[in-house]
Amino acid sequence: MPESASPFRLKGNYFAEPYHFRTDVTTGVCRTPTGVRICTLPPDFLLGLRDALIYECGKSYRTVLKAAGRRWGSQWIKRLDREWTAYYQQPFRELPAGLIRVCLADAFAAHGYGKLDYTRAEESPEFWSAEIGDSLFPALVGESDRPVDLLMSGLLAAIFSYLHGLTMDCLQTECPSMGAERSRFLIGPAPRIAELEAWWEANTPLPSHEQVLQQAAATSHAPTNGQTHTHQEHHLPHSQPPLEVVS
Amino acid sequence: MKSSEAADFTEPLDKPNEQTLQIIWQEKGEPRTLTFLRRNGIADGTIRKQIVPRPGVQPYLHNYYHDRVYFRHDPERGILLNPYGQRLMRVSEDFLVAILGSLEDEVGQNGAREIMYKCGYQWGLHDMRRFLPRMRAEFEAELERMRVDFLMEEWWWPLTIQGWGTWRYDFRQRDKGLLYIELYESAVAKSIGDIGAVVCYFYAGLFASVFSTLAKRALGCVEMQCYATGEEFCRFVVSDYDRVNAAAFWRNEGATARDIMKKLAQM
Amino acid sequence: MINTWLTEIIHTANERLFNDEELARMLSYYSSVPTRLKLVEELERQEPSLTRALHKELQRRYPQRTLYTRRLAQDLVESLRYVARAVLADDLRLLRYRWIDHMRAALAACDVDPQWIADAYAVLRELLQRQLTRSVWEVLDPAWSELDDSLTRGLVAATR
Repeated sequence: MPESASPFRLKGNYFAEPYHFRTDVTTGVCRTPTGVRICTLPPDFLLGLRDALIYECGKSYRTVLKAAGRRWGSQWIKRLDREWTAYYQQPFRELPAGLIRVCLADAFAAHGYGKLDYTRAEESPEFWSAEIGDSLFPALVGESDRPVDLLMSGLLAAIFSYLHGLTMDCLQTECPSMGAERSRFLIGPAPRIAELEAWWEANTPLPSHEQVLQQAAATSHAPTNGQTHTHQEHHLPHSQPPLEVVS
Repeated sequence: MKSSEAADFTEPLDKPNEQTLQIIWQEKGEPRTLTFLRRNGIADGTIRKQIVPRPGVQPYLHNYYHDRVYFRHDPERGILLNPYGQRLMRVSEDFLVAILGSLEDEVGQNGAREIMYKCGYQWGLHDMRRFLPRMRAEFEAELERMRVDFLMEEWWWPLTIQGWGTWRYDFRQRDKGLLYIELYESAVAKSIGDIGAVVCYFYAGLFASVFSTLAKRALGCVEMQCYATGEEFCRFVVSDYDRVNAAAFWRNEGATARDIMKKLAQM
Repeated sequence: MINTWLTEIIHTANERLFNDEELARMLSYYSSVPTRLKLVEELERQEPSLTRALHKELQRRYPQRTLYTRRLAQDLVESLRYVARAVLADDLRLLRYRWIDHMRAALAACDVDPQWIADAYAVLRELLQRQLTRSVWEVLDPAWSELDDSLTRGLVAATR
């Protein structure tokens, strides 16, 4: 019986093991079963980091924090890819797209980042809408006039870039520190995100996530700096059609 | 919760004036921070002059020295809490390496060190702001009569369970105004590895602010030796700025920790 | 990861004596431990042969369903480890957090009919029925029912 291109697998929540994060209190070292050292960041550290960055870098602290998130994300997803590939005994990127999403959500939840969900934008398939419920940074920072979930922004950009093999970027469109219910992000090809970010910043009041999606769809056929965007759908495992459903 | 509560917004982030440090001692405790620890119906709410041992069930759970009790995980919402109700975030070594790397890229090596030190310093101030009232409430006693080493271990303990390493402090030269700290399994140094330069600036800032708060005067901290310079563990000195700057200078000239300690004792 | 009821009791009791409720719970648990251990051992012993048997049987009964690959059959048999662990600890939350929640989310995300997985587990149950004694089934039943319910409860598509 021939197997479909992305055969369905089920191995449960990789992180929900009793001793997945085990601290040896005599040495003060916490490790996962694969030997990776895990550090738990207290909120005081994160706020201290933000304070120090704002103090030293001024307005450009946002770029720095997002770049740090991106750099971290590119290593994190590489390592997770290795671990999940070993766990599923097949290349992680070849798993069904939905399963990849559930695994990433499990990772976010296990590490305390909040509840992750994402979908492809219907009208512009090169974009993805992501959201994080109970995201940590906005809960710490409180009120702000700009989105504050910069680490997550960088992290998501790195994760999607890695999984899709393209340079992608992430724009945070809604933030609990600005009154929204959860953090929402738009992830897409880096040049398009840069344009949308410029458009987003230039508007007062700042557009909602839906408005940004509409703008993305409206400008999707406009040439970007003379380049045409090639939609490499057929190379991406995520673009496989869903598995057969019982009739 | 506001992100920065310095009394004076123009003062440098790592050199608070004494008023700021005094204010930290006067912070009122937030009773909610002890919700997870309180056993209802036992505490009577009075703060005594010193800790009074009592038999039987304690008004607050003190023994949360274990992974399973310290970390409270809500898998549905993806939230990790400590016993004080604070949100925590788990990261692998990649994070610390990435922070250092991107700081160096964006603001250069010196700028990165400044930022990390200041981050550690602010971290310590935020931490102390919560820690002191929490100690007062959890042990139902005034802070003045608590032994310093008891306070120190109670403060450091959460960092151990969170994977930041273990420590030893040496107060034998406190009369000379010198405090030495040994740090084992530094999260930063062990993640970055042997690069031939000290890297534990987060810790240095942290120790500086914590000891500044306890001493109620501004102190600095510098790392004399590090796992990242090939040593087995990291060593720090906490003292006033003159001596700390001198120690940094000698270290950059290549002096070992022992040399620095000898010279500082003679200063 | 959550704490089991036993860990919770031990940590909250701490400096006081166990109360009657806690004592009763622990005593009833300890009396059932031999049976639970027997289940764990039995499932461990059966695992290799179950994988082959399950795959073969699923292909025989549902030849048109390409979902039932050999790997998925192995995954489902391996999930019995998590069932076993939840039974050993007598705490169904372990099963929920390790397996059930993830399974429901994955089925919804990949548009797979949960009834197909329920059918696979039904076949697995038949294969096991012949191997396990009645007393062992009694301790296994609550966890197995939890698993079945989660699949037949009706998934809300694409949300958890």
